Formats: sequence, structure tokens, C-alpha cells
Amino acid sequence: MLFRLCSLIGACLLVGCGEPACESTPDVCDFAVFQKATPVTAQEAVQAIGRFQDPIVRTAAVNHWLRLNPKSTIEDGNLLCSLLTGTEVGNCQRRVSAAHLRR
Amino acid sequence: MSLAALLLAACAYVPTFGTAEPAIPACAPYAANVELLSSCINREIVNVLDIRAVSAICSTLPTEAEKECRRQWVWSASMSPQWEGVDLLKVCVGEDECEFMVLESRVPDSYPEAVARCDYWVKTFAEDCVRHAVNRLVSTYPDDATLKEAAAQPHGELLAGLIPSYLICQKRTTCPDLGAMTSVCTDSLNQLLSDSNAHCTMEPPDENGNSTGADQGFAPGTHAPPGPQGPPELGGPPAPAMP
Repeated sequence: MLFRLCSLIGACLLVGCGEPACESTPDVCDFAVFQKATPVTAQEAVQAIGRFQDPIVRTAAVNHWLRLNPKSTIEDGNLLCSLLTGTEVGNCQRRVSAAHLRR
Repeated sequence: MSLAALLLAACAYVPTFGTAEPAIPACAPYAANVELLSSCINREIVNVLDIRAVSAICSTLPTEAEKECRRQWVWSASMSPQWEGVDLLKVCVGEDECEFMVLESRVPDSYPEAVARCDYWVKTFAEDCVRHAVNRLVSTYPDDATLKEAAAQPHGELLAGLIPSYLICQKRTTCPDLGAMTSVCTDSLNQLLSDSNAHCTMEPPDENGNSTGADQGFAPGTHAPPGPQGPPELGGPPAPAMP
């Protein structure tokens, strides 16, 4: 067990394989970076999120930014919401513009 | 064991969020990151048509993500007349914002009924809920008797403070008789009249006298309109004690 643990740590240090999903789904890997270094302005966020091809990652990134910026303007919020599709758009717009959720 | 085999064995290790498979198998590729998993489940949950399954799936997520999951499903389902309000409320499990969404999508014709529902269901946001009910009421261009009756309901003071904006549109300079709430209306109206920037923000009625754009309090047009027969009633026992 100890041997396996050591080999696992050692191997990961060597090849950086702690995030194996990176190979098959690069957006998943890039999302981890996005989480750690979230863009400050809405415009920067839109640019960064726009690069995600995977709609699930894109939605997660939008939600992540909105969670970190609850006092963003309605315009900025709607800018982020416009990156979404389907019923997610309406739910997002309500979240960023409804007066009772902005207090 | 060779070094290569060790590397392979170590790299086969995939850290995951939680120990079980995601409630929706299609979300397995995102299981290692709770925000991604939540995003995936929120996207997929709208396709689930069994209320118990919705609750079971959403409850596999951490608290805040679970709430969002339930809200996402309710938001989507509320656009379909196939769902009764009571069914949607079951999925909300007492979360005020979720219940607010349901009430907004299943509005009763009666103002007193709307106010009773706001107080019963949407406790935290009851005043916001009533505010929307007032907006809907004034968008029907009610007569003075209807306004007086509405002012006698709970939150009459809130209504009396809001309707001067409507009276401005009617080019009225005095409040109707609102019983005990008349003075609240008068104070608010006088304040508005003394503001040179005050102007009517309601859209004019259409040729049938109906409002063309009642303010529902959030982005219009984002919540789909009800079906041809209108939204189903919330149903259940007498107001406000809906099941």
C-alpha cells in the first residue's frame, strides 16, 4: 500500500497526471485554471469563457463568475448570460436582474 | 514492476467528487469537479419527467448546487402547462426563490389570492412577490373600487405606495379612496407630482384596453408564455394553503 502510494505520488510529480481528464476533455482542464484565476472584469470573463467549446464547462464558468461577482451590473450579468443557451438563459437573466436577488 | 508499469498504474487513478457514480451517467466525465458536475446535471435534469427522480438526482449534489438543480428544473418545467403548480412546488422543497418562480409562472386572476399565495409560500421575498402582483393588477387598469378592495388586503400600505405611479399615467392628481391607506397613497403621489422628472412608465393599453407589457419584475420574455389555454391553476385546497 505504502509502495503504491509512493509510486503514485512520484509518478504524478514526474508526469503531472493528477488531471487525467485533460487529455480527453481539454475544457475540463482549462476550467480548473479558470477557477483558480477567474477574470476580474465581465469583458475578460466573456473572452475567456467564449473559448470553452463544451457547453457544460461554459455554463459552469458563467455561474462561477456570477457567484464571485454578485454585485456586478445587470448589463455585465446579461453579457455573461448571453453565453448560455436554452432554458439556462432565462434562469440566468432572472438571477442577474431580479431585484430581490440583488439585495 | 517496471517504472513504466508504475507510471501507468498511478496515472490510471482518477480522483472523483464523491465516491459514487453521478446520478446521471452522462455526467461521469465531469464528476471530478463539483461545479462541472452541477452544471452537467442542471443541463440534463430538465429532461427528467418524474418528480421523484428530479428530487433524487438533485439531492446527490451539495446544498447550494442542489438548490440550483431544483430551480433549473422548476424554471424549465414551469414553462410547460403539463405541470401543475403544486407539482412544481414539491420540487422546491420550501426554497423561497424556487417557490417565487412557481408563483410567477402560475398567477391567479384574483389579486387577494395572489397576495395570499405570496405570504404563504414566498416568505423571504413576500414583498417582492406582492410588488409583482400590484404591477399585474395596475396593468389591468382597475377601477377605484377594485383598488380600494386591494388596499384592504395584507400589504395594503405597499400597494398604496406603489399605485401613484399608475395614477400619474392616468393623469390623476388625487388618490382614490383607499380606506385607511389613502394617506399613504396621497403622500407618495404628492412626492411624485413634485418631482419634475416623474413620468408614466407604463405602456399604453392595446385596442382592447389590456396592458401590452406588464412589468413582471425581471427580464420580460425570458419566461415562456403559458399555453393557449393559459397556465394551469396551482390547484389544491383553498388559498393560501396549497398542498
